[in-house]
Amino acid sequence: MSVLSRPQGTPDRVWSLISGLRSAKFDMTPEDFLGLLNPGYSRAGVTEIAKTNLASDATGVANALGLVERENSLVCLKVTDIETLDDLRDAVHRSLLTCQEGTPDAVILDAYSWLVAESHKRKELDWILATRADALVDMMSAGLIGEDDDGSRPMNTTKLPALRRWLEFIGLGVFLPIGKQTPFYPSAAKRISVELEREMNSASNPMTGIEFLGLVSTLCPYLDQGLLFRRACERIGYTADPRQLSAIATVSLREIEAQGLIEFNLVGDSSDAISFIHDPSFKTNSFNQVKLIGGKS
Amino acid sequence: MISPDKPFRLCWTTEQARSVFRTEALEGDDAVFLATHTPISGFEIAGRDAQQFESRNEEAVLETLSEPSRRHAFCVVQGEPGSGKSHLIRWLSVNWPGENDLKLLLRRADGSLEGALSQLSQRLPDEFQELFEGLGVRQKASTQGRANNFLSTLANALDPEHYDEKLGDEEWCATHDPSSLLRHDYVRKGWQAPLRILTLLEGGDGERNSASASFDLYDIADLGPIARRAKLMLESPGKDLARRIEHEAIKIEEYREAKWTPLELASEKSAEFPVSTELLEVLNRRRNDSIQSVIGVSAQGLKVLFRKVRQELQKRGQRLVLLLEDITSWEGLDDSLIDVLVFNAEARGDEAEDDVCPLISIVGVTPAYYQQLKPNYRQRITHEVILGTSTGGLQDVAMLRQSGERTAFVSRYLAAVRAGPAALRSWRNDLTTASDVQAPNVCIACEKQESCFSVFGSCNGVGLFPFTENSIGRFFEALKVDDNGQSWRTPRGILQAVLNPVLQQADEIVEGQFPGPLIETSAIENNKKSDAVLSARLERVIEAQIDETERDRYKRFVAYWGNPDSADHTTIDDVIAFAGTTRPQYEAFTLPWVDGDAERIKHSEVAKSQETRVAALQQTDKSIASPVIFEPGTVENEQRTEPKRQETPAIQTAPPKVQRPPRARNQTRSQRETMRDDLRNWAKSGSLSNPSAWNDELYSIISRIDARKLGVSPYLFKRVVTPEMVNLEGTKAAKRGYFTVEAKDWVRLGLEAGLELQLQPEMSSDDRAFFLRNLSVMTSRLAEETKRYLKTRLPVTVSGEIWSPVSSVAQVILARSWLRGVLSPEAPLIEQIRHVLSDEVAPKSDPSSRSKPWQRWLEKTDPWHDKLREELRSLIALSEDGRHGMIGSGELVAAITRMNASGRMDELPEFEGKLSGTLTPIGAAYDLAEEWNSECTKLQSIEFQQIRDRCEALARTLRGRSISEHLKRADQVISSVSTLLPGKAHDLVSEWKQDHNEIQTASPDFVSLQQLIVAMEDEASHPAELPQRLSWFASLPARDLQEINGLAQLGERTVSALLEHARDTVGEGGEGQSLSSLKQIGKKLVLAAGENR
Repeated sequence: MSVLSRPQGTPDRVWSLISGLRSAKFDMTPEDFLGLLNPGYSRAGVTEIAKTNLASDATGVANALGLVERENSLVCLKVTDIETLDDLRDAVHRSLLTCQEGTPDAVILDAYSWLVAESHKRKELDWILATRADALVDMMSAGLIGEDDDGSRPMNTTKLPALRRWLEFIGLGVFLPIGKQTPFYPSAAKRISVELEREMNSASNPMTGIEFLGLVSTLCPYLDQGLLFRRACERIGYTADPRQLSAIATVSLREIEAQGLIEFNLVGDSSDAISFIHDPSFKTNSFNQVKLIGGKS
Repeated sequence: MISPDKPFRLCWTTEQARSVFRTEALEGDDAVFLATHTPISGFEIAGRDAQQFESRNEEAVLETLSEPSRRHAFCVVQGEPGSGKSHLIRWLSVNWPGENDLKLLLRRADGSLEGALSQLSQRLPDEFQELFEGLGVRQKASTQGRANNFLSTLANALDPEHYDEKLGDEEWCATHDPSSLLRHDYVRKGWQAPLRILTLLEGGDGERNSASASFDLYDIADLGPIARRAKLMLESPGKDLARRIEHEAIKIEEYREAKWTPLELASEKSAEFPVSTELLEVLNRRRNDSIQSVIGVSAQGLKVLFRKVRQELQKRGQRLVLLLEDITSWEGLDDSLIDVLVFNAEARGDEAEDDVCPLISIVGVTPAYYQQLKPNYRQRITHEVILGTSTGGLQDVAMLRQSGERTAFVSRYLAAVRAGPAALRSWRNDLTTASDVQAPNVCIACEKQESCFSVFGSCNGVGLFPFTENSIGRFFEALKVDDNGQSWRTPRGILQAVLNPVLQQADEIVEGQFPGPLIETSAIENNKKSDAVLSARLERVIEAQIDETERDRYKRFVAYWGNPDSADHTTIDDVIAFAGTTRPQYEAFTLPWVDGDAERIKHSEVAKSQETRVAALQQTDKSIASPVIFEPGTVENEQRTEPKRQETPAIQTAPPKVQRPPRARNQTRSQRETMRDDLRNWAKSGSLSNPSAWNDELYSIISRIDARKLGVSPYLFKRVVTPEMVNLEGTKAAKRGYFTVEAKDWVRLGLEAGLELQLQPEMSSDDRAFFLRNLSVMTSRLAEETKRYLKTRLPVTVSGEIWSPVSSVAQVILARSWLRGVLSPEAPLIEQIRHVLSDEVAPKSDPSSRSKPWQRWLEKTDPWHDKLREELRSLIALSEDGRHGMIGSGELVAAITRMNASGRMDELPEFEGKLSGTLTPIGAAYDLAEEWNSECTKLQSIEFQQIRDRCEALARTLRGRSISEHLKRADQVISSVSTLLPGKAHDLVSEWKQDHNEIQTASPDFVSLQQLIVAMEDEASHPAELPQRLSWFASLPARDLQEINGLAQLGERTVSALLEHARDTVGEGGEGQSLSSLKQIGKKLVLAAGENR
């Protein structure tokens, strides 16, 4: 079973399991592992306990993401460097990046890659917000391959909410508060910031626009010119102009720029410039030099 | 002036524009009037004989009223100032067909009564001039002097005995004595109302604009402060009147501040100021009489004049046609004039009156004047032409409702200005010989006509340059609809506030400086001006793309010629456009063109976006219904519960101190515009008109930040970040503990983005992208601000993270459980988790048998343990309501593990604040944890000492025997001796018997106690670590130890007491007994008592 086919395996439940197991400092029986999330307790004479399948979805996801494994009938941590929730975000991101093409959990970043590729093609994001869930799933399915463990489509309307939730968790989207609604906005600003901050000391700074795009596409291969992005383009038969950023990359980088964490400049000859989606509300819509300001993500 | 690179020819001069535009149509010459005349139609009709109008246009009015057989008409043309009353009346005059009628057109002229009389005099044939000689003579006094006379006359007229013919309010005047107040020197020197009215009657320095020269409630409000001082020197009842006026004036002032007009106030709120209202009516009832004597005219004289004129005309077989542009010009004599006009000699059938000619009168009145018209006058109106309708506020103007009508109206004036006065006059002359000659239009022969029409458009063959149809509409929509009770959305408003200022800018057009700042007059709504109306994105585009020196001009251009809500590139009739204006228009005025992405410029961008937006909302609605998407942890819930604050609409209006006026003052602004303006004003001035709505909105956004990302539990987040605490800078008085968000640009842009995304039904994808980005940036920054705020309200660890109370709460519960002997640190982890979350179970450690510190700790936690469990459940719950069982276990497991390892609770960060209010339980956990860490070592030490001491004492008492053996022996001795010595050491013996029996009944585990005594002596076997030691202590039979030891000690005391008695008994008995018997008893007693030793 894939991550998305276990909709009750939400990030915070998985975090409960992983952080509990880590704090316990010993391997556990599967029952005790489940008890970390759903111990059952008495409150005003009533036992508060969730249905087992709800909690077991979370253990299944932890397993699917390769965060835990079983050894001698005991559950033990497979990834040991998770101390904080942000560590878990990074670990999940890493885990998803290592999924083999066509495997059930590869669909999460494949779907995001498809969103990026489509946003490159359409030069805007409005359609993501505007398309009904069923229509979006149909469109997305055209850009996905393989099938789930249970033989179901890699993406359906049941999995879509889980997809958005996991994408948000790893920093590839936010839920924006608009009135009483919170639509999903696929900005990768958070993930890019995290990844770039890690590279602050090793990356040349400033760097050329092409170097920057190369770095970003390596760290986040679902973004423009990354491996997953290129694969997504191939699947939808689209050739992306390598000097033109997608709408998702544009909004993400513009947001990071607005936060003062990065600076895009156009210096000298602009023949090597990378272009954002054109927006006259910015003085420049292309850059060939990037300065990482750093300090926070 | 022709410029080859421009699509237009500058086809007028500033002077031409000046000569054509006059503030009133009547003031221009006939040529301009006829050239610019816009047929008036679409108006409402009423009046007793309204059915006589066959249709609602000017021709029908003319035909009906001028019908040769008509003997009488009193027609009222009702409309706001500037709405075209004069224009219609003048048109009727110009086209009046009855050659046998004496037609008198009386213009508003300077708005004065004197001017009105003067016109009447000039227009009447010479033979009537002598009638004016007796009409009156103007006083020589200055204006102020005449105002004083007016006031004095009024004061006299307020005397109940002043009039022979009673007015009906004499009793009120007698009861309140207004005369004494108005006669007071303070009133004479300080009250400006008489001067105001006199000035209006004299034309208001040419600015009267149909204003009514009556006393109003604001005049009474002005009298209030004067009355306050004057009352000290007045006698009752004048004193009481002054006091009541003073009080009511305060309330009237509040309404004045809320922008009510005096008329609205009198109409809607008069019950709140009964005395002021009555005084007002009393004054106005005497106004005409008083003013007539001041300005030197006689009402009776006027009536006589008209009678004589009509008698003369009757003799000649003529009708009198009186066309009065504005009745307010006649105030002071208006009631007398109307008496004349409504008089229908035929209907009256009075022989004495049938010698006067028929009178057809057409009178212009404002709706305000009409409302004040006496009912008996209203009933005698034969025809009414109502030029506009009102939906609660001022009337609109029917002839300007349609965009095409406005454009046609403007185009006529454009043609007239271009033609110039000379050409117009020539045309006027031609008209006298040929009525079908078209008005001059220079566009016909203009070599730039094609390009000019192509860029700016045309209407009926007249080029709209420098306007466009869009700009005419935008200017019109920007005009104030209610400027202190007067509308600018009238023909006069267009002339004065749009056409005139724009066409005065001929030089600016030539110099590339058009549109200059003077196009924005005070008649434009502030929120529609170019510095306020542009969308945030358009502002940003201009800031990014336009040179600073050109920005203001650029903004003016897009504000009126374009679409200030759009920053999109589109096409209009296949011509590329930006912000709703085509590129050639920008270029025509030498404005820079902002490039767009050619590939993305689409037709009907907005339409597409509107279509998709519906889907977007449906999609997000569905997502909202499924918490799977948005609310991690509430997955199994189908319905998400919003915080109560959000149940009310995000945008709401706080009740104002004084209600808004009953008219639709803001009808030109949508809710979105109003709120956007409010935000922009906040960014500039720091104040909001509706702070509570905006603070609610801010809280709504902040409350949806993922608390876990900030390092706090959602539960704690909601406890600290409350609606009461969250506010925008300037909306609440600064107070410690408030979460105040500063008026930064990103906040304004983010809130505006949220507003636009919620309330703007049409939006391009680029606009949406812009707003989403701003909202995203704001949300992200608000998260940082919120974290900063949380750090001021909660303790912060040395590593800079927000302290989590989970550990302390859990560890306090753990410690309590240890001391109560209900949980061992050795218990399985999951059992411990369940234990700290579950309801408390009965103690097993006999707390009352414990040392004082042990008991004290338990007593201190007694009032908190339930609350702390509840807090803990909520703090780690993965569902919003804390139910459903699933928990975030990481922190809890870590807390249990650390506590089990050291017996100490986690170190607490220093905190100078106070965890109070809803945080009190957490504060209690903080304090208890701190106390535990300082007391736990001592606590265990004292408890150990107590147990050891009790064990040693018991061991000494046992003297090597078992507990049961020792107790049995002691009981035997006590029983034997007490039998032999009944009544001796009675209390001790009884106590022993009772306690011993209880112990025997309880049958405690003596073996465990004996083992404990042995174990106590073997320190090497004691647990070394604090958790285990405490747990071990808790497991020991403290109560048994305490009770057995107590019983043993009681036995010792009892036996000792009995021994003493035995010895005494032996000593006493020696006097009467044989020596041998005494020895025998003594031996038994001593033996018995000593048995226990």
